[in-house]
Amino acid sequence: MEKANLSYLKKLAAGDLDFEEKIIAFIKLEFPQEKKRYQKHFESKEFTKAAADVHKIKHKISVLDLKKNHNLATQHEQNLKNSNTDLASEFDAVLEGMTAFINQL
Amino acid sequence: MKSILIDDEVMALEILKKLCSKVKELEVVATFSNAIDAIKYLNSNQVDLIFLDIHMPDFSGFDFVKTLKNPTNVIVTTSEKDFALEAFEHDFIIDFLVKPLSKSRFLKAIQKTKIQKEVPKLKNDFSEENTLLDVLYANVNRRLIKIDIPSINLVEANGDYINVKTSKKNYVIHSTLKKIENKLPSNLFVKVHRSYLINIKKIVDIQDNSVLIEKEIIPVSRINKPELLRRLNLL
Repeated sequence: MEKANLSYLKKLAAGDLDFEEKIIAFIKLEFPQEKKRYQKHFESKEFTKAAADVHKIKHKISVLDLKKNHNLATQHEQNLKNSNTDLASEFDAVLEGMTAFINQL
Repeated sequence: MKSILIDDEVMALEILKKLCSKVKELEVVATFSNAIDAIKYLNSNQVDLIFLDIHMPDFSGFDFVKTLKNPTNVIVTTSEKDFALEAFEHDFIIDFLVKPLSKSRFLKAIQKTKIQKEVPKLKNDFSEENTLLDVLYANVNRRLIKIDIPSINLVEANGDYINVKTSKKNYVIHSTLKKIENKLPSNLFVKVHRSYLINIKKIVDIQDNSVLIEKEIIPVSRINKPELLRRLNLL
């Protein structure tokens, strides 16, 4: 399973620790909300909205350098637009992996 | 270059601010978490460059671009590569950055903006010429009738005919909405629906997907709504 890391963020920050901390704080703040919104829409079968939520989460996925998971999210987003939930459990695993990583930051 | 940033994700705005801080010529004058607030700001402020997220709830980045009054360079930021083709169909969009943004790609986009600023823009004076004419002659029952353009409330398509409605009188004319649209000043009239052209000055109020013109409720289609909003002096 692909592991999240902060290499993108560190490269962008170029030693600016305040910036790094700020972005991590925003990830900690925004990601749980985005995840909750996605789960709510998915459970209520509002798949178009759930697809939009996946789209939003994709930025966090890419900031945490999860390239393969980003591709999976893109596919899941497309599937949801057609009410196809085939990749739901794989995407849930991605969300859980991200949650675990973010919690230890 | 005065710039504004539009993105509904706080983290994305922060990353953009950081990248903008690397370019001396860039001054971020405002940031917005939704497009509507940015439209209001642009009604009374001019900027040189807009960084715009495409995927936003309610009012997308593409809807926003359609509302731009003045030629302003727009750099689109998105997590979706597939939007690129659509993005370049819009005149103001000069570059397309895929998230996560990298410094090198960001700087290339800024370079493009600088080059773009140096290219003189062709001005289309056609609509301004139209405003000089304030009367329209239309064939009604084999007579050419003079219609005072500012008095027109709206024009409604009705099969092979159009109904030109003023406060005092309605004229049924054998013509199309497209033809009369080309004859009317574009600064005064806006198409709000495939069957309706309205005089902006006659709007009483706007609610959801309709406008009130005198006592008549006119539908506003989703596709025409951004253009209508662009024309209004929103507070």
